[in-house]
Amino acid sequence: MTNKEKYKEAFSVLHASRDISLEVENMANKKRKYKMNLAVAAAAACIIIGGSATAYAADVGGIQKIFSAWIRGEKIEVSMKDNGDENGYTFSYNTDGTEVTWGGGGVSLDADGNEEKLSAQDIMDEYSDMPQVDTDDAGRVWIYLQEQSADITDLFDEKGICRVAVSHGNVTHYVKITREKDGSYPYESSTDVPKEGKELYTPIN
Amino acid sequence: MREQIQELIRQYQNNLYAVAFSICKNSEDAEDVVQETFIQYYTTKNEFENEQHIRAWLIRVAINKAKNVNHSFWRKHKVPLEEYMETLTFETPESRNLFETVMKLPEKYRTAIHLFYYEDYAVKEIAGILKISESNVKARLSRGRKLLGQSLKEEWDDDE
Repeated sequence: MTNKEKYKEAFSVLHASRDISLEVENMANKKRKYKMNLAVAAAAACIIIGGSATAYAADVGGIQKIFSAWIRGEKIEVSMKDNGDENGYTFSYNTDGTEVTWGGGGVSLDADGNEEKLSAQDIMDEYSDMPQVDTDDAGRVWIYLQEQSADITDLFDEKGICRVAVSHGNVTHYVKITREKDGSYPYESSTDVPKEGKELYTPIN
Repeated sequence: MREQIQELIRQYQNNLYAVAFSICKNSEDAEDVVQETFIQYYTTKNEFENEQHIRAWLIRVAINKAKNVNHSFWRKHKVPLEEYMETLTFETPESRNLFETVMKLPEKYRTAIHLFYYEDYAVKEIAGILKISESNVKARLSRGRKLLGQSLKEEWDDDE
């Protein structure tokens, strides 16, 4: 046997066990937003790395910058520290004397699949332009899009799902919010017309 | 030209998995890389000259993504290689030995070796995929072969 034959025989044991053919098209539709709308990447990263980013800020420090961003329907000055790690920043703002801090970050992919760290400005701009869902002190559920806000508590169906369409300018965001047993309200948002039909989404204006 | 994604998956899934695994040394990471690579093909607007161009592009993207996984701070999967190898059924003990020895090579040698011996790429093509010079590819292949020869002795011929 030649070295090539030996090598091929040795590595022929490697087979992907997962059937990715069905996953790719579904994921691609979601990932298209990852590329075209950085908000998806940024928002996801906020959730994933939120816990650890503040610790890094304390240890590493970094250059602090101030951005203006829409958060929960209000234009707020947000300060940012670059954590000095691969993709992360720490964002914070002050509301009613309380310091709100969270971690965020994200990457964009170039044509060859190389990751590039998003700038903090990119992340905050995209975050500002995305619908945000949150609860108030009375437990009411609100959706925000820039300066707009709406109480959507009564729009949840018996399965704990709420579908709303919120628009700003010419862009409509289709948002699906789920009421979880732990009291959280995770949501998905897309500017693509949903496959399940946009008529299922209650317009909010 | 553009190929149907399902056809590309059928053709190249295992090749991309093998090249990704040779870099990540981890099954779940390699599968994620394969999926992400096809998703990138699906979403890219690149036009390709021919099938070889598509194949080289897919492999290059998979290599870059696998490297990113390796260098990521938040690496998700950490199943030891030894544990995964217990799930593999090698044809012969020599095959297992070769596989193990390759996986112990430094990443840059391993990748060049894999593209040459598994994907049958020539030095010039490897240089294009890895975006390095041909002399650099030759050096990596030469050093990789030397290390393989030292470990595998008579199980590895001095034929290239």
